[in-house]
Amino acid sequence: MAISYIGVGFLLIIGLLMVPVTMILGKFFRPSKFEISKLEPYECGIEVKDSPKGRISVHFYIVAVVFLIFDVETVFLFPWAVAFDKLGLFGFIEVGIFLLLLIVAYIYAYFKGALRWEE
Amino acid sequence: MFSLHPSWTHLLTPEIALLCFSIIFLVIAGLKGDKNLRKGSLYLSLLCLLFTLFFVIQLFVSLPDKEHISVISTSAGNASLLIDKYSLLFKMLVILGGFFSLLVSQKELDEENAWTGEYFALILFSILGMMVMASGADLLTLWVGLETMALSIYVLAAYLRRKESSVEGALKYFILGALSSGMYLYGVSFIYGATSSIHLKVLRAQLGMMITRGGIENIPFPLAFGLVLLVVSLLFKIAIVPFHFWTPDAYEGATTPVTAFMSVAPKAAGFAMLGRIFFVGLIPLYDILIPLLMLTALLTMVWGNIAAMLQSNAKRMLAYSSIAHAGYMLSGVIAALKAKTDEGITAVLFYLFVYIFMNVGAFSVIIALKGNGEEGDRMEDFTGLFKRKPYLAIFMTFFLLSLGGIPPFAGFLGKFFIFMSLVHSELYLLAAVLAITSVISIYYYYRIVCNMFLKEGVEKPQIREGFLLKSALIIMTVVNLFLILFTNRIFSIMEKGSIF
Repeated sequence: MAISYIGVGFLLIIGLLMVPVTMILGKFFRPSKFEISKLEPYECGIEVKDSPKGRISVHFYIVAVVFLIFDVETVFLFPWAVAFDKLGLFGFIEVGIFLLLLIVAYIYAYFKGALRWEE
Repeated sequence: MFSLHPSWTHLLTPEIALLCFSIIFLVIAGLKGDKNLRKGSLYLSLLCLLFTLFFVIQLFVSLPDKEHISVISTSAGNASLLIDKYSLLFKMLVILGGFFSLLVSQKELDEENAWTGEYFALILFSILGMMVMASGADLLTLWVGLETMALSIYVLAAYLRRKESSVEGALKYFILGALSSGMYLYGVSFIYGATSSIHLKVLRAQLGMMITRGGIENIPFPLAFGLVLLVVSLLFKIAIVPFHFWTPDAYEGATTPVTAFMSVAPKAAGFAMLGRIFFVGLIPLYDILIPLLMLTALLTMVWGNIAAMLQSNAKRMLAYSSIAHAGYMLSGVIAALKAKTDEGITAVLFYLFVYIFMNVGAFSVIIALKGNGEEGDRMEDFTGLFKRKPYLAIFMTFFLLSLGGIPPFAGFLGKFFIFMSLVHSELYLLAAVLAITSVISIYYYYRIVCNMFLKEGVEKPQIREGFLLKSALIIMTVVNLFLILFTNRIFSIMEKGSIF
């Protein structure tokens, strides 16, 4: 039984080795020149505006939760749509109930003002 | 893939009704409303629970005895959701626990000025989860029910979010609860890997086959590992020593009606789930399970009672006493495991029924004492209560005597049936410890009684209860006093909750 997991074991070892090996190999090939812009958080050209330690509105969190509602919805809708033929009426009713519950959650969030920005 | 029982809508009426009710409450909670709307929703939620209870009782009466009907099952015939008298009895207990906790919450919500609609929606959702826990017959359905319950209760435990102790207790509860849920899922993943099924019936068949072929040693290590994690997470949920550390803090921090709810309903649902997993899935393992559970039950009874003696806060004391009571109930489960009869299960069901009335009763007196900026849950708050409010002191005495197991109160009967089932299955050690620790428990229950009657208290402002709390107190007292007259009838109902 354990022999059938040998592939998984290989994958684990390769996965663990991947990062150190590429980092060490990179050390040999890349040129090493110091520039002050390399110390900035983003090296792709966007200039830093202010410290990341500032306070962020808690509202972002609620928006993220609302986003999660829809995200989870699509995650479940996609496999259902793919296997629609096999699941049949049972699956259809189940997804209907699922969507109904999510809509209720959305209505609740809407009435609570989760999507309002002005204070 | 899946097949539904032809009359599934009928069999699942209570769940469907409760789901619709809780959705309505969630929408009401979202609406901007004044205090009157919230007070109205308290009465409405009580009514909804009565309706659900009515549906459950109707199903209970119409169902034949000793029959397990699978509502949802795979094409191979393995049930995922079972409706039988066992699950229906636990559903009744859970609904009763929720009903009485709501009944006593009016005054507390007034005092804290914390009327929100979410309170009712969350209690109804958690009851829905508990009902699924009572009915589930595969490990994942049980887990879905467990999480529906637990997530609602984490939020309820932190209901007074401006109070530090409330948030602290809830956070501890949440972290440890998430840990135990994780352990459950991790264990289930190992069990699934070893048996390629999550259904309890398949698990039982495979375990039985392995053991008849080569004894306990024949169980492969991954499966054994998964089973250990499963059992530990179950014991965690019903707060058995050494997995009890979240209990006192969570109970003390939560608002008192929520504490009352947490101490009765999830415990009943936890025992329903534990019984289902043990008696349907793990029964071939009884040889190892019995000594293991016996050790934890002994520890629970002894430590729960000793720690309760040391508390100076009444809610904390009741938390430790509820740990001890969980130990008594676990001994009933062990008796059923040993004798392989329903006697122990019947005793546990009876105990849980009685426990709702005595424990919620004791908590409701604490709620009555709250007011004028005082919590009312310290031991000193009870001093001289007999002078101030004679009937409140007498009611509290009844509840405490009942919790201690003094005849003729209802708690005595609960302990008596557990004791009998232990003696019948020849577990004399557990029976002796149960008797001795009950005597110890009298000491700390009497500390409150002593404070109420014998000590002179300082002059304090008048206590006001409100109609709902008063009626709840009267119902609990009447049940605690007169249950002994209806012992036969209630016992014969509980006897129908057969799992074998």
